[in-house]
Amino acid sequence: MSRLWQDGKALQVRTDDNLPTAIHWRDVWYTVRHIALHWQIDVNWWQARIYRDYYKVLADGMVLVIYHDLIANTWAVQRIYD
Amino acid sequence: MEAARLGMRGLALTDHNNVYGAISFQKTAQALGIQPILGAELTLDDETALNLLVANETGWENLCWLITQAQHQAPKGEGLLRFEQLEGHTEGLIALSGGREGEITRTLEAQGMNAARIAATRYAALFDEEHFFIELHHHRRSYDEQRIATLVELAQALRLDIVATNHVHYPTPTDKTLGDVVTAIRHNRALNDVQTHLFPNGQHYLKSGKALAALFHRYPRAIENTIRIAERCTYQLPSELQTLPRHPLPVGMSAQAYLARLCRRSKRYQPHMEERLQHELAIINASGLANYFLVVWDIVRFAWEKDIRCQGRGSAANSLVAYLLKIAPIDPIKHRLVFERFLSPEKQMAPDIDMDFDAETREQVIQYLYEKYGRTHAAMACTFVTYRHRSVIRDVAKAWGFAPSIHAYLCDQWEDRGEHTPPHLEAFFDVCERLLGNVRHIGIHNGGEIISDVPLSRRLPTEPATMPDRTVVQWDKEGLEDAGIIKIDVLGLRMLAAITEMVEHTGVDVDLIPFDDAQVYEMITQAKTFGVFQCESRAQMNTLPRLKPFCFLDLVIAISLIRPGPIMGNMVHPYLRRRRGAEEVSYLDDRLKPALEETLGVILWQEQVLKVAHDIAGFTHGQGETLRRALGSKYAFQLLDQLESTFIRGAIKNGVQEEIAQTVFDQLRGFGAYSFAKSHAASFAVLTYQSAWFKYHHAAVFYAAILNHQPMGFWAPSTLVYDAMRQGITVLPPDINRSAADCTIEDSAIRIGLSYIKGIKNRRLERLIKIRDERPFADLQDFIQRVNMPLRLIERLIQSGAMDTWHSSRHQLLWDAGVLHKTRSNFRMRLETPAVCLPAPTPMERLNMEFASTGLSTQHHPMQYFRKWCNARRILHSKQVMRARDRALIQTAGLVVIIQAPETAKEIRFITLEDEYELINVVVFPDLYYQSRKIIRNERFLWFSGIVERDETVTTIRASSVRALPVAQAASVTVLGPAQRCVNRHAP
Repeated sequence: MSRLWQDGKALQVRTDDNLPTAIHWRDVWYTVRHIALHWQIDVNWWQARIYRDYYKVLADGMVLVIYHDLIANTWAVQRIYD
Repeated sequence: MEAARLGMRGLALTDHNNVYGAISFQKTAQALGIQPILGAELTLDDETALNLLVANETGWENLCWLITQAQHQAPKGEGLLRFEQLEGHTEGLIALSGGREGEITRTLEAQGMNAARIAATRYAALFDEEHFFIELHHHRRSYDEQRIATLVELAQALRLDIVATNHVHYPTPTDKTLGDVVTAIRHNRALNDVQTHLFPNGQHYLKSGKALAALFHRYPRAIENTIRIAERCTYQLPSELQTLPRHPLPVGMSAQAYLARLCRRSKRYQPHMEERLQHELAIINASGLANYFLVVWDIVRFAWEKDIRCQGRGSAANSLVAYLLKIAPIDPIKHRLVFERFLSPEKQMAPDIDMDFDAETREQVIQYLYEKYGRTHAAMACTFVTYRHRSVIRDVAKAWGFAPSIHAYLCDQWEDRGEHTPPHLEAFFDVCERLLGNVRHIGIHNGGEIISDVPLSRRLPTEPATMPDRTVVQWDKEGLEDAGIIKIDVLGLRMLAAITEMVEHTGVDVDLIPFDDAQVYEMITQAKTFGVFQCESRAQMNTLPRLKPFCFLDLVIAISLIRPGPIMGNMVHPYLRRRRGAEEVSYLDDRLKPALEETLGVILWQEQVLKVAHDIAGFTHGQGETLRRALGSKYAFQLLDQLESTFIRGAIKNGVQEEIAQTVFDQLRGFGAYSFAKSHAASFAVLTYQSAWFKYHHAAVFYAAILNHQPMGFWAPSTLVYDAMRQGITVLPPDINRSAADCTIEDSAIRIGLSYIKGIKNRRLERLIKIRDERPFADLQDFIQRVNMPLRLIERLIQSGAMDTWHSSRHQLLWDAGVLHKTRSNFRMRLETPAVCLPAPTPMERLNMEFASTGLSTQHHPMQYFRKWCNARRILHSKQVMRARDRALIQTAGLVVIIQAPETAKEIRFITLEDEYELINVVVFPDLYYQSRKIIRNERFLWFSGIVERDETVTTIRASSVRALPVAQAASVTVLGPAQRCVNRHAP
């Protein structure tokens, strides 16, 4: 099971060389232990461009899919796995 | 350019199932110091991809063969190769497994490791381990890392090597938009509807070695192997790919000897030609081109035997050998044509020979080539059709999902693009801009035939053309030339078909008519040249009365003068002034006299460029030819600058003052492209004279033949019909019981043929005439009962006047047709319809109907219906305009017959109006045009105010204002079709 935020839920992320190192979730900083997957999407540019770097990360026991919005330069969580 | 910027040493081009870009890719890469690697991505019949790179000549042959097979067994525009067809055609090729789209990766993802290993083993066995690589892609897509790791594991298990590639689809990251739009265009759908076909991110750009190495840092071997592969793929396309078929020769005779014998036995041969003939034969012998001449001669021989009128054009007409073999129509000695322009010992390439054939029967010649040499040995050149303004707007708008109804609005917005452009259209126009000039699709060359003694598929790939029974090669004219492949142009020329018809009708052997009929020249001088070949454009008509041609050479000059080269080089007016004695003939340097004496000191012909370069700067023929080509190229700025320096240096060395040398070179530069070779103009002048001769001596036959071979020439059929009527010829409307399919002569009048009825196809027409031949149609009911024809076509026949023969009004016939047609299609039912009696249409309504159904009318000119209204407002007709004094401010009006915006005229529009008497020339400068663009574009009847400008016999109105003529004043003229537009014509 997982919880999905279709439009993403904003969150703070610490990075090193553009890669996430820690995630701030419900007032707690979780350290990213492992990046399992990393992919990029750049679609729909002719309407409302979606240009993001996605990461599936293991952060202190949590598995999350987060993304870096490369246009707004913001971070959001899209999915958290139970 | 991007590869060079990234410092790449080698680059492979692997287009999908084609090598369209191979030649230009190789040339560009070499120029940039990059090693070009030729190849292609082949689509196998399970729709997986396989990349093949060419290591050597055998590899190139195999690749061509494989692409040809793939193209010929797939729908047009695609390629599908069966795996087993690779068998025996892998030598000299290096295969890459196709990355994400390849069979091995697809199998791995769908069926797992074992199945993928079996697939990989099959490929490795086919190509052997040395020539097969597992191809790795990393585009930052989900699971790319895992996929690569598994493929590497598979490769290790099978002792195969790996290589990293990037499946590049566009040069830079920002070009993703272009890539996506092109994908949508390819699928003929909107971007929203092709999302699954688009790459999910913009990573398919050309990445630097460093960027790629970072992505594959765990697999350095994959990067190193790119270098190893490049080192093995050293094959480059040679400049002489073709070998022509051998023409059969008499026993014991060489091609050279046979050619000499044919020339001396020609009916055209005369003893005084011997010296020139020997000279030409010697050069042909030295170039090894005797067989080439024999092959072309064979085509011409076939055409003449089949009564297919033909003649050479272009530089071939410089050759006496071509004249004697009936390839060229004019005697080069008599017309002072220089053989070296066609072929010289220095000339590296075999020259193209371009032939015009009667357009109606040309297909027989093309099929003869296929039959004689075999379908695998003959094919046509392709053309790369590039995006222009309208086509790019149409395609990109479709991709964007814009409705077709707003395409015209988008065109306008694009032209007026600026600060006020809506922001959401900026990206749209940006894509349009970037696509402009790029290749949209592949077409078939007008007539460029390639023939080969070995199957063409061993030299370059072929594919089926859209047209039945045609095959095309994957290179265009320039590509073929670069690869040293001779193209024989088998062109269709409608004027030849028209002349054939005139000859058949009159029995005159036009080839025996000398070029000396003073009355014909007088007619040309008076610019009564509607329909006359190459002499009928508005600019030509304006020039002829000033030029006053009275001999064949004058026709050659007339044809050559109104070309962008002489116009841009400001040669036209000096020539005309010198010709009438208003300006002294002078030369910047006496050494120019031999080259330019014939044309009174101005440059008109390409041959003169070579001679000027030789006489002034000591250029060899080869250098002169390079200069001529550079002058004609849009992209040769650098080369031209180099040649300029060489020219100036050479001239100074010859004792020419630097200033003069510079002026001469500037004139050559101004002369530039789009000029004729004298030989080409001379070939065309033959047709000019012949068509003019028929126009003068057999006018009705001339007009009928011209009308039967439309579209041709400059004027629309309606203008030709009104011109014929002005010349006193009766033109009769189509008649259902009298008209043939074509226009015919009926008691010295012209009867418009039924083929002019819009929408009636030839087969339907043939059936109709066959039924009528049994007995004429008695009335509309009889027609509808005997001929199965859709109601809309019957209505057009009625509107055209073809059924006036039954003396019913057209309104009544249209009503009856509706009733009778319904009855016919439901013949068991009786329809009760009220009897109606409809009034006859007014003359203006009839005119409207005729234009709507045939595009022309044999009635009065529509301006006649405005005349009373115009007279009341002092709006002058064409005859009054001719009589108006110079610089007078006048008003005039007419039917718009053509709007021209030649590239040479800096956005000035030349509008030709027509009224019941003549044509009226109007010049519209950009300010007025952009103010009144909508009116000028959309209205058919325009009313101008302006100043009369008279230059000798030519009168032009320089417009100061324009309005639409209120059509309500002429009982509503609303259905005439759009005016003819020639936006990019070179001459005004």
